[in-house]
Amino acid sequence: MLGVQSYWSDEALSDFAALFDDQTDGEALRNSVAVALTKGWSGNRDKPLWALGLLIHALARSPLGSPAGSAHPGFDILSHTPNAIFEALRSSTCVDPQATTSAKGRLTVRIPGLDQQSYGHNNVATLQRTANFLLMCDNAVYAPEIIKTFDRLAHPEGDERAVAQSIRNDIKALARILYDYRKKHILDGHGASAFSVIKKYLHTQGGGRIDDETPFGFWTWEDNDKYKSYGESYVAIADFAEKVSLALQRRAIASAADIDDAVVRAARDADASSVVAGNDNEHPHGDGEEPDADPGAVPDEVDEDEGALTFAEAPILLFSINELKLIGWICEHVAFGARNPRAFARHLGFRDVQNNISNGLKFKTWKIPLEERVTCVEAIPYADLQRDLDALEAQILSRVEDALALRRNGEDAVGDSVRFRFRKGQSRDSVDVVATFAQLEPALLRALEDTRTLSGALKRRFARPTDTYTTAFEADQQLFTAEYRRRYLPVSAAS
Amino acid sequence: MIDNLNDVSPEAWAAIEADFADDHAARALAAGAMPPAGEDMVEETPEHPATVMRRALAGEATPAQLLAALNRDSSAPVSFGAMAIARALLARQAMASSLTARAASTTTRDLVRHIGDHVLQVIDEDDALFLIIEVAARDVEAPPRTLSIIGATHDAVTLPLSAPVEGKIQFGIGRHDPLHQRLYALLRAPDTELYLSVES
Repeated sequence: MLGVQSYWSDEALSDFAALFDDQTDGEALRNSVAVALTKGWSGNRDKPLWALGLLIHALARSPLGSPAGSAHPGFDILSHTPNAIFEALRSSTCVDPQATTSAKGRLTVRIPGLDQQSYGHNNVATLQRTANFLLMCDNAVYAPEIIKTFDRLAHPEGDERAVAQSIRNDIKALARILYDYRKKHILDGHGASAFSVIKKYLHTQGGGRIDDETPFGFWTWEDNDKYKSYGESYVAIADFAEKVSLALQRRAIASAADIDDAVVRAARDADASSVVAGNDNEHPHGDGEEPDADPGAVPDEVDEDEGALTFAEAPILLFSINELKLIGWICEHVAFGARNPRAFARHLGFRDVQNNISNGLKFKTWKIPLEERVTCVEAIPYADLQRDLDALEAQILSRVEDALALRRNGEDAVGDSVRFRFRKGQSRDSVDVVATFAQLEPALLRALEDTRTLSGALKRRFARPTDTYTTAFEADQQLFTAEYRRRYLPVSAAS
Repeated sequence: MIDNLNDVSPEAWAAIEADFADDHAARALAAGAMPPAGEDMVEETPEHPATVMRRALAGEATPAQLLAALNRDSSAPVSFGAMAIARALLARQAMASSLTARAASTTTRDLVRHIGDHVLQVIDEDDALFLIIEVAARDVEAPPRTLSIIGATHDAVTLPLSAPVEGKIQFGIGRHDPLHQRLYALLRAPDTELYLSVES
């Protein structure tokens, strides 16, 4: 892990870690907040802060909001659960700002003279932690200013125009703080050098192509000093491949012969504009970066595909923690995994082995001796992995059926055919079950599709007579064992 | 999946690199905060002061607990910003607060301060310091449980209060108690902030 972690200052990692409870907050939430703080949404670094500012403003006018003149109404955003905030906005009858719920169950907040913003449960949870981070980071040095800013966002003064201007200024002030923070705590150049290492590997060793063997080859390459585990290498190569793949698609569209074809032209224009939007805020941490201007025409739909987080933050629990983890890994790089199922199988199959070795080295306790552990006795056979994926697919499918039953029969279906638990602190009194399932339906369908895609790819990959689940797993077990021996056994002999 | 990286134009590489660096930054931040995975996790990480603050912000810890956490290490300077958060939280839940003193000395040694409709009397005896709070009549049924005291120098003390007897809450502290001097200095200073809260 060392390679990746050294990218941020220790203070930043500690500030960030303090946002989460190990028991209840999952990987998906951590990833989502990290993205909001680091790269923003829809290619716009300040977009989450716009969403936060509008949320604070709208919340103050909802049934949960503290009235003007009360003590620190800006803290309302932090004092309630994301679900309570979401429901308060949904039930708000206020027209200024106006909150409406879309067919997909997303909430849209519109403020006169400003952009509109749409939210799902998961966005509210992410923004709440973002607000928390702003207040507490750098030993809370910005807190006095942020408390004032949040309070003013809740109840700005003046006429409609003055209010819009006040909100705009406050959001820009928040963006400036986060910009300063990134500049101070990101160790410059690291991201670029990680990129260079991958690019160099692909050009010198990988033959200019990315396939099933690339993550393993890159992980074990002697010049790779950035990524210490197969999992990290896999994720980095998958990130890299997805971006390259997108660039190649754009190129293909751009060079499409028939320029008069309306569909091609529309697609090309859309891509061109997103490239421009992306480039506007690139050069992430250099001296020249200024906080972005108004989000303007940036699409307001954000991060709808955070499948695992959508489920984890919903007021009802549809999946176990292990299922949520699996959904997260599947949805994250579905295209890459489906094209490189062997690389994906290695990622999931050997993940625990690596984690347990790393933790053992860190904490010096071994349930299984290192010498045995490096032989990958804890790896998950690929046939078992396939069973897990099939079971997950069945589970998601049954949840989709639940959603359909609720849509058909309303509340009556609950308890009859539809069974689930409520999130801690929630109950049938506080949760509109039918509406919640309706909100989750798109994410459920998406997760089902992604799981089927990956599961199908694994099935096809291991249907080859030369490469069955068993032979492939045994071969990989030898491959990883050799690599872990090389990496870890000398350390243990020396200590 | 990708057969020839040479198909990527130099301009596209620049955009990919910037985008990748962003992803890398987000992943590094998230990875740094992941609790140890797997079965061998044993070590409890020491509590970051910000963790207490987050709990307090989420209503899972009282402002009094936050103040206590901030003052745990009395040799370390308390963060100005953290104090601002504690103050804001106290103000949010306080049934009464006195941000600036309307101190009226009755004798040279005794002090009276008004906190909302409540009256705090500080009696300085030779061997002890006594605090007497006259609870406002309308709050006798739901009396304050905590008195939080924050000084201009960010020294802060939170006192648990007992139930009132005949409308009065008493609190005494001996001269040799380490808290005595701090409390005395805090209560003497006119710019000390006082908050009464029903939260215990």
